[in-house]
Amino acid sequence: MISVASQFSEVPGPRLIEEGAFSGEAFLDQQLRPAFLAAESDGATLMIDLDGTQGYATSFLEQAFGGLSREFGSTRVLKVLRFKSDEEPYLVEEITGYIGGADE
Amino acid sequence: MRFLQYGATLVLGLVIGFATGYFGRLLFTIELKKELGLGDLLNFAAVVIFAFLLQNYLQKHFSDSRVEKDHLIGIIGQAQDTISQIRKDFFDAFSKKKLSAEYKAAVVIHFRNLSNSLDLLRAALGQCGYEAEADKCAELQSLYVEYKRQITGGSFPTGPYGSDVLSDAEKTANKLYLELTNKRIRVNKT
Repeated sequence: MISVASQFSEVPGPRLIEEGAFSGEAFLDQQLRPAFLAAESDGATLMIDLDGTQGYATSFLEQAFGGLSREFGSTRVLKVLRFKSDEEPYLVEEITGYIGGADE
Repeated sequence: MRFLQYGATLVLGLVIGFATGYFGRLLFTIELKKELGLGDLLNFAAVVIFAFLLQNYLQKHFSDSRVEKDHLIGIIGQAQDTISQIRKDFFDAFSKKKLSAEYKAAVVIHFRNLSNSLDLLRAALGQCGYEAEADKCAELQSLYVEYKRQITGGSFPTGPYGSDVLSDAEKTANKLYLELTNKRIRVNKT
Protein backbone atom coordinates (compact mmCIF):
# COMPACT_ATOMS: atom_id res chain seq x y z
CA MET A 1 0.00 0.00 0.00
CA ILE A 2 1.02 3.60 -0.58
CA SER A 3 -0.34 6.27 1.73
CA VAL A 4 0.18 9.53 -0.13
CA ALA A 5 -0.09 11.62 3.05
CA SER A 6 2.36 9.65 5.20
CA GLN A 7 4.79 8.36 2.55
CA PHE A 8 4.91 11.31 0.17
CA SER A 9 3.28 14.55 1.29
CA GLU A 10 0.21 15.95 2.99
CA VAL A 11 0.34 18.76 0.43
CA PRO A 12 0.63 17.24 -3.04
CA GLY A 13 2.21 19.79 -5.32
CA PRO A 14 2.34 20.73 -9.01
CA ARG A 15 2.70 18.66 -12.13
CA LEU A 16 6.44 18.56 -12.80
CA ILE A 17 9.55 18.35 -10.60
CA GLU A 18 10.85 21.62 -12.07
CA GLU A 19 7.66 23.38 -10.99
CA GLY A 20 7.97 22.70 -7.30
CA ALA A 21 8.14 20.25 -4.43
CA PHE A 22 6.00 17.12 -4.06
CA SER A 23 5.03 17.08 -7.72
CA GLY A 24 3.04 14.43 -9.53
CA GLU A 25 6.17 13.58 -11.51
CA ALA A 26 8.15 13.04 -8.29
CA PHE A 27 5.37 10.87 -6.85
CA LEU A 28 5.34 8.76 -10.01
CA ASP A 29 9.12 8.37 -10.07
CA GLN A 30 9.72 7.82 -6.34
CA GLN A 31 6.65 5.90 -5.19
CA LEU A 32 4.05 4.95 -7.74
CA ARG A 33 6.05 3.38 -10.55
CA PRO A 34 8.31 1.20 -8.35
CA ALA A 35 5.39 0.00 -6.22
CA PHE A 36 3.26 -0.68 -9.30
CA LEU A 37 5.97 -2.81 -10.92
CA ALA A 38 6.62 -4.68 -7.67
CA ALA A 39 2.92 -5.44 -7.17
CA GLU A 40 2.50 -6.49 -10.78
CA SER A 41 5.43 -8.89 -10.69
CA ASP A 42 4.06 -10.44 -7.46
CA GLY A 43 0.65 -10.80 -9.05
CA ALA A 44 -0.76 -8.56 -6.31
CA THR A 45 -2.80 -5.38 -6.22
CA LEU A 46 -1.52 -2.03 -5.01
CA MET A 47 -3.73 0.02 -2.70
CA ILE A 48 -3.32 3.79 -2.94
CA ASP A 49 -4.60 5.57 0.17
CA LEU A 50 -5.56 9.08 -0.90
CA ASP A 51 -6.81 10.29 2.50
CA GLY A 52 -5.03 12.65 4.85
CA THR A 53 -3.87 15.27 2.37
CA GLN A 54 -5.11 18.79 1.78
CA GLY A 55 -6.42 17.76 -1.61
CA TYR A 56 -5.24 17.02 -5.13
CA ALA A 57 -4.94 19.33 -8.11
CA THR A 58 -5.75 17.90 -11.52
CA SER A 59 -2.17 18.66 -12.60
CA PHE A 60 -0.78 16.34 -9.90
CA LEU A 61 -3.27 13.52 -10.50
CA GLU A 62 -2.98 13.63 -14.26
CA GLN A 63 0.82 13.61 -14.17
CA ALA A 64 1.05 10.77 -11.64
CA PHE A 65 -1.74 8.41 -12.66
CA GLY A 66 -2.18 9.52 -16.25
CA GLY A 67 1.60 9.30 -16.59
CA LEU A 68 1.65 5.72 -15.26
CA SER A 69 -1.12 4.80 -17.70
CA ARG A 70 0.71 6.39 -20.66
CA GLU A 71 3.76 4.32 -19.78
CA PHE A 72 2.14 0.95 -19.13
CA GLY A 73 -1.37 1.18 -20.60
CA SER A 74 -4.64 1.68 -18.78
CA THR A 75 -5.58 -2.01 -18.73
CA ARG A 76 -2.40 -3.03 -16.90
CA VAL A 77 -2.67 -0.11 -14.49
CA LEU A 78 -6.34 -0.65 -13.63
CA LYS A 79 -5.69 -4.33 -13.07
CA VAL A 80 -3.18 -3.59 -10.32
CA LEU A 81 -4.22 -0.31 -8.68
CA ARG A 82 -6.92 -0.03 -6.03
CA PHE A 83 -7.91 3.20 -4.30
CA LYS A 84 -9.08 4.29 -0.89
CA SER A 85 -10.62 7.76 -0.59
CA ASP A 86 -13.03 8.15 2.30
CA GLU A 87 -12.57 11.93 2.50
CA GLU A 88 -13.44 12.51 -1.15
CA PRO A 89 -15.22 9.48 -2.63
CA TYR A 90 -15.54 10.85 -6.16
CA LEU A 91 -11.73 11.21 -6.39
CA VAL A 92 -11.49 7.50 -7.30
CA GLU A 93 -13.74 7.98 -10.35
CA GLU A 94 -11.81 11.09 -11.30
CA ILE A 95 -8.45 9.25 -11.19
CA THR A 96 -9.88 6.29 -13.08
CA GLY A 97 -10.92 8.79 -15.74
CA TYR A 98 -7.36 10.12 -16.03
CA ILE A 99 -6.00 6.57 -16.29
CA GLY A 100 -8.49 5.68 -19.01
CA GLY A 101 -8.07 9.03 -20.75
CA ALA A 102 -4.30 8.53 -21.11
CA ASP A 103 -4.94 5.89 -23.79
CA GLU A 104 -6.63 8.48 -26.06
CA MET B 1 -52.92 43.04 8.05
CA ARG B 2 -52.98 39.28 8.60
CA PHE B 3 -55.68 39.75 11.29
CA LEU B 4 -57.82 41.65 8.78
CA GLN B 5 -57.36 38.87 6.24
CA TYR B 6 -58.39 36.21 8.74
CA GLY B 7 -61.33 38.32 9.86
CA ALA B 8 -62.49 38.91 6.30
CA THR B 9 -62.21 35.20 5.52
CA LEU B 10 -64.21 34.29 8.63
CA VAL B 11 -66.96 36.81 7.85
CA LEU B 12 -67.15 35.61 4.26
CA GLY B 13 -67.39 32.02 5.45
CA LEU B 14 -70.21 32.89 7.88
CA VAL B 15 -72.13 34.80 5.20
CA ILE B 16 -71.85 31.91 2.73
CA GLY B 17 -72.81 29.44 5.44
CA PHE B 18 -75.95 31.39 6.50
CA ALA B 19 -76.95 32.04 2.89
CA THR B 20 -76.61 28.36 2.04
CA GLY B 21 -78.63 27.40 5.10
CA TYR B 22 -81.37 29.96 4.42
CA PHE B 23 -81.83 29.24 0.72
CA GLY B 24 -81.36 25.54 1.26
CA ARG B 25 -84.24 25.57 3.75
CA LEU B 26 -86.42 27.37 1.22
CA LEU B 27 -85.68 24.87 -1.54
CA PHE B 28 -85.62 21.62 0.41
CA THR B 29 -87.51 20.26 3.36
CA ILE B 30 -86.39 16.93 4.69
CA GLU B 31 -88.26 15.10 7.41
CA LEU B 32 -85.65 13.95 9.96
CA LYS B 33 -86.05 11.38 12.66
CA LYS B 34 -85.99 12.93 16.13
CA GLU B 35 -84.13 10.01 17.61
CA LEU B 36 -80.53 8.89 17.63
CA GLY B 37 -79.78 5.21 17.26
CA LEU B 38 -76.62 3.19 18.08
CA GLY B 39 -75.93 2.86 14.34
CA ASP B 40 -75.98 6.66 14.00
CA LEU B 41 -73.49 7.05 16.86
CA LEU B 42 -71.17 4.37 15.43
CA ASN B 43 -71.38 5.98 12.01
CA PHE B 44 -70.49 9.37 13.46
CA ALA B 45 -67.57 7.91 15.47
CA ALA B 46 -66.23 6.13 12.39
CA VAL B 47 -66.34 9.36 10.36
CA VAL B 48 -64.54 11.31 13.08
CA ILE B 49 -61.85 8.63 13.55
CA PHE B 50 -61.32 8.28 9.81
CA ALA B 51 -61.09 12.06 9.35
CA PHE B 52 -58.56 12.25 12.19
CA LEU B 53 -56.40 9.42 10.82
CA LEU B 54 -56.56 10.71 7.26
CA GLN B 55 -55.64 14.22 8.33
CA ASN B 56 -52.66 12.93 10.34
CA TYR B 57 -51.47 10.72 7.49
CA LEU B 58 -51.70 13.49 4.89
CA GLN B 59 -50.03 16.02 7.18
CA LYS B 60 -47.12 13.64 7.88
CA HIS B 61 -46.77 12.69 4.23
CA PHE B 62 -46.65 16.28 3.01
CA SER B 63 -44.44 17.27 5.93
CA ASP B 64 -41.94 14.46 5.13
CA SER B 65 -41.97 15.40 1.46
CA ARG B 66 -41.26 19.04 2.31
CA VAL B 67 -38.40 18.07 4.69
CA GLU B 68 -36.79 15.95 1.96
CA LYS B 69 -37.09 18.71 -0.61
CA ASP B 70 -35.62 21.26 1.79
CA HIS B 71 -32.72 18.88 2.52
CA LEU B 72 -31.97 18.43 -1.19
CA ILE B 73 -32.29 22.15 -1.86
CA GLY B 74 -29.90 22.80 1.03
CA ILE B 75 -27.25 20.51 -0.48
CA ILE B 76 -27.66 22.23 -3.87
CA GLY B 77 -27.25 25.58 -2.14
CA GLN B 78 -24.02 24.40 -0.49
CA ALA B 79 -22.61 23.33 -3.87
CA GLN B 80 -23.53 26.66 -5.43
CA ASP B 81 -21.95 28.58 -2.55
CA THR B 82 -18.72 26.64 -3.11
CA ILE B 83 -18.75 27.46 -6.83
CA SER B 84 -19.21 31.15 -5.95
CA GLN B 85 -16.23 30.92 -3.57
CA ILE B 86 -14.04 29.28 -6.22
CA ARG B 87 -14.98 31.99 -8.73
CA LYS B 88 -14.18 34.73 -6.24
CA ASP B 89 -10.77 33.27 -5.31
CA PHE B 90 -9.97 32.50 -8.94
CA PHE B 91 -10.77 36.09 -10.06
CA ASP B 92 -8.55 37.36 -7.30
CA ALA B 93 -5.63 35.13 -8.37
CA PHE B 94 -6.21 35.96 -12.04
CA SER B 95 -6.21 39.70 -11.47
CA LYS B 96 -3.07 39.54 -9.29
CA LYS B 97 -1.39 37.37 -11.99
CA LYS B 98 0.01 35.25 -9.19
CA LEU B 99 -1.01 31.97 -7.56
CA SER B 100 -0.06 32.16 -3.91
CA ALA B 101 0.42 29.11 -1.70
CA GLU B 102 -2.70 30.16 0.22
CA TYR B 103 -4.75 30.33 -2.97
CA LYS B 104 -3.49 26.93 -4.10
CA ALA B 105 -4.40 25.31 -0.78
CA ALA B 106 -7.79 27.03 -0.63
CA VAL B 107 -8.89 26.24 -4.17
CA VAL B 108 -8.00 22.55 -3.83
CA ILE B 109 -10.03 22.36 -0.62
CA HIS B 110 -12.97 24.15 -2.30
CA PHE B 111 -12.95 21.60 -5.10
CA ARG B 112 -12.93 18.79 -2.55
CA ASN B 113 -15.97 20.36 -0.86
CA LEU B 114 -17.70 20.75 -4.20
CA SER B 115 -16.99 17.13 -5.12
CA ASN B 116 -18.40 15.93 -1.82
CA SER B 117 -21.51 18.11 -2.16
CA LEU B 118 -22.22 16.66 -5.62
CA ASP B 119 -21.63 13.15 -4.33
CA LEU B 120 -23.94 13.77 -1.38
CA LEU B 121 -26.57 15.23 -3.71
CA ARG B 122 -26.47 12.14 -5.92
CA ALA B 123 -26.91 9.85 -2.90
CA ALA B 124 -29.63 12.00 -1.30
CA LEU B 125 -31.65 12.23 -4.52
CA GLY B 126 -31.69 8.44 -4.71
CA GLN B 127 -32.67 8.07 -1.05
CA CYS B 128 -35.51 10.59 -1.38
CA GLY B 129 -37.00 8.81 -4.37
CA TYR B 130 -35.71 11.11 -7.12
CA GLU B 131 -33.95 8.31 -9.02
CA ALA B 132 -34.24 10.03 -12.41
CA GLU B 133 -32.58 13.15 -11.01
CA ALA B 134 -29.90 11.03 -9.33
CA ASP B 135 -29.11 9.41 -12.69
CA LYS B 136 -28.68 12.87 -14.26
CA CYS B 137 -25.95 13.73 -11.72
CA ALA B 138 -23.33 12.24 -14.06
CA GLU B 139 -23.62 15.45 -16.10
CA LEU B 140 -22.91 17.53 -12.98
CA GLN B 141 -19.86 15.44 -12.17
CA SER B 142 -18.52 15.76 -15.72
CA LEU B 143 -18.83 19.53 -15.42
CA TYR B 144 -17.08 19.35 -12.04
CA VAL B 145 -14.10 17.43 -13.50
CA GLU B 146 -13.91 19.86 -16.40
CA TYR B 147 -14.03 22.89 -14.07
CA LYS B 148 -11.38 21.42 -11.77
CA ARG B 149 -9.16 20.64 -14.76
CA GLN B 150 -9.46 24.22 -16.02
CA ILE B 151 -8.57 25.76 -12.65
CA THR B 152 -6.05 23.21 -11.27
CA GLY B 153 -4.77 21.50 -14.42
CA GLY B 154 -2.06 22.67 -16.77
CA SER B 155 0.81 24.24 -14.89
CA PHE B 156 -1.17 24.89 -11.70
CA PRO B 157 -0.06 26.22 -9.31
CA THR B 158 3.14 27.63 -10.77
CA GLY B 159 2.06 29.68 -13.76
CA PRO B 160 -0.36 32.64 -13.69
CA TYR B 161 -3.71 32.11 -15.39
CA GLY B 162 -4.13 33.22 -18.99
CA SER B 163 -7.26 34.94 -20.27
CA ASP B 164 -8.25 31.75 -22.09
CA VAL B 165 -8.48 30.00 -18.71
CA LEU B 166 -10.71 32.80 -17.42
CA SER B 167 -13.06 32.42 -20.35
CA ASP B 168 -13.26 28.62 -20.25
CA ALA B 169 -13.55 28.42 -16.47
CA GLU B 170 -16.35 30.98 -16.37
CA LYS B 171 -18.34 29.15 -19.03
CA THR B 172 -18.04 25.88 -17.15
CA ALA B 173 -18.86 27.47 -13.79
CA ASN B 174 -21.97 29.05 -15.33
CA LYS B 175 -23.11 25.73 -16.80
CA LEU B 176 -22.57 23.94 -13.49
CA TYR B 177 -24.36 26.64 -11.50
CA LEU B 178 -27.27 26.70 -13.94
CA GLU B 179 -27.60 22.93 -13.95
CA LEU B 180 -27.80 22.98 -10.16
CA THR B 181 -30.44 25.71 -10.28
CA ASN B 182 -32.51 23.67 -12.73
CA LYS B 183 -32.23 20.66 -10.46
CA ARG B 184 -33.38 22.76 -7.49
CA ILE B 185 -36.43 23.92 -9.44
CA ARG B 186 -37.31 20.41 -10.61
CA VAL B 187 -37.02 18.99 -7.08
CA ASN B 188 -39.17 21.76 -5.63
CA LYS B 189 -41.87 21.37 -8.29
CA THR B 190 -42.40 17.61 -8.02
